[in-house]
Amino acid sequence: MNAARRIMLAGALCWSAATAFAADTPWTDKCTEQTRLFTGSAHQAAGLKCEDCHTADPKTQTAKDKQTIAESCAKCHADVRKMNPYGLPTDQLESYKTSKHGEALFSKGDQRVAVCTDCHGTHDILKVRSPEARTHPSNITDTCGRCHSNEKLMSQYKLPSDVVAKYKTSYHAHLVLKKGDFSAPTCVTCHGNHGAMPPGTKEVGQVCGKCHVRQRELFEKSPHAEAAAAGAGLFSECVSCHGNHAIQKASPELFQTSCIQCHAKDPKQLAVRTATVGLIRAAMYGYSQATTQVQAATIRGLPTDDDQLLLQEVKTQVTQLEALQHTLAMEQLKPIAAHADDLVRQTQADIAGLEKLEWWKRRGLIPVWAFLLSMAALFWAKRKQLES
Amino acid sequence: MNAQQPVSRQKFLDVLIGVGLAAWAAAFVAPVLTYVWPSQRRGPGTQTASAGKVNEFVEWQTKVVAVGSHPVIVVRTPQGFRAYSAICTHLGCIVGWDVVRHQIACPCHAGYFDINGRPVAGPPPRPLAEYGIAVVKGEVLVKST
Repeated sequence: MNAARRIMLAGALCWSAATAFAADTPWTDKCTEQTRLFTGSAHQAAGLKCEDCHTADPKTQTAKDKQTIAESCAKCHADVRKMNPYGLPTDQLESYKTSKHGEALFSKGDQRVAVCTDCHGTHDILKVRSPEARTHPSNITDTCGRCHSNEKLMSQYKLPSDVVAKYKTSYHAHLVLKKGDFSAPTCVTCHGNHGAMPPGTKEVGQVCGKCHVRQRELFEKSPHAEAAAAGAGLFSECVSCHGNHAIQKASPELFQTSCIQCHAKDPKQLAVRTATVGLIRAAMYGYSQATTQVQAATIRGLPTDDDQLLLQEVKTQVTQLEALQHTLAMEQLKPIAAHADDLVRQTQADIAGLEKLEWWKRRGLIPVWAFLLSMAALFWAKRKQLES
Repeated sequence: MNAQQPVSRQKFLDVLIGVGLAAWAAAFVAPVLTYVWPSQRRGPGTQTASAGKVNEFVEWQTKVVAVGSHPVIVVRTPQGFRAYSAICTHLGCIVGWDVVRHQIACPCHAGYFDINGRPVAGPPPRPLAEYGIAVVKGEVLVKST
């Protein structure tokens, strides 16, 4: 008996609790457990009863196949009148049928694929915004991973089983799972949820561009965009340089590993890479140096308000540079880098001026001490005079 | 002359001590006076800045001014002046004004904020912090709230 059948059989048992089975029946313990799970669920909060899903007599009901489960859920979830009060969409089943999961289930009757209950649960279904929900952004990776990390299951579909593990090493996962930034993408952000489907080589740029709008716009102006449009799977927009599931935070080091994959024997293009990396690194280094100097001056109590503003402007130029390099247009990169360099120099000159002023102020203590010592000497002389 | 010399030295010493004591007393009194009169001498504080005269702004004109160490974008709308932090809530770039969209725009990642400072496009996760505006004798003053 597979897991889904066991789940459905247990679900059927729950019906018995709701219809007040005798306390000494062998169903009771299991039903108590299902009732406990149901308590606090989104469906219980909506006023559903066991019989709303379990329509057959539990003593005779057999476990449903997955296709029946999807259609059973859709009886309510595809009904606009029922879903409108909750503000829920009603196209989940139709979307599901277009997904790889739905295609396999409805076209081939494949009972191994995920259906509603595999991701949302059965009796203990919670709203997506609930932190305990299987579909909450902080849990969805593990939910997908229940199948997609199963090597035995994935091998049957010739799919890799390390995608979830790779994702967990990514910067996206770092934001979602460590920083609690739920605007960062999880599995469903790129693949879809009910209509889950891997984006093809040509669609990847569109998928990434949903969030990375500016980078996408700039990339489309680059020679790489032409290569991607030429197709044949030679160049997969974002993925060719950044990877997919294990995407790391982009840095100049990425140029060292990515460009060479296609341009190893192309000194002209490698020279462009070197020049681009040089501009970005120089700007980042200048910003880092200036930041350290301004911070040190601030700690020493120097008035650095204007320099902090300049730093903010440098940061803007550096960040623009990082995005702008997607165009590979040196004529656009150079002015930004030069402006950043000017601002860094201006900041450093200001800090040097403040430090010089501080130096003079400290030297100004010498006459103060001289005055204090002179006064002490005068008092001593006056005392002598009075004593004589 | 010889009889007058010790008297002159004594007077000279007294004058020096008197001047020294006066300077010493001034060193104590000066901070007290600074404490009493700062608002007249330095204005209302460093967290307020002038964005210029009202007549320097036409409708939908903007200016980025520094309030302390913070850049602030000031916009003249048909309903009056509005001021927001000019630091994008995404990665901290300094925002500007999109004259076509009449929106605050971040040059780094194409984030847009409406005239109420709310993010309407792109990656910014939060609204821009709002600053207070006061028009005093024809001068636009921006202050942190």
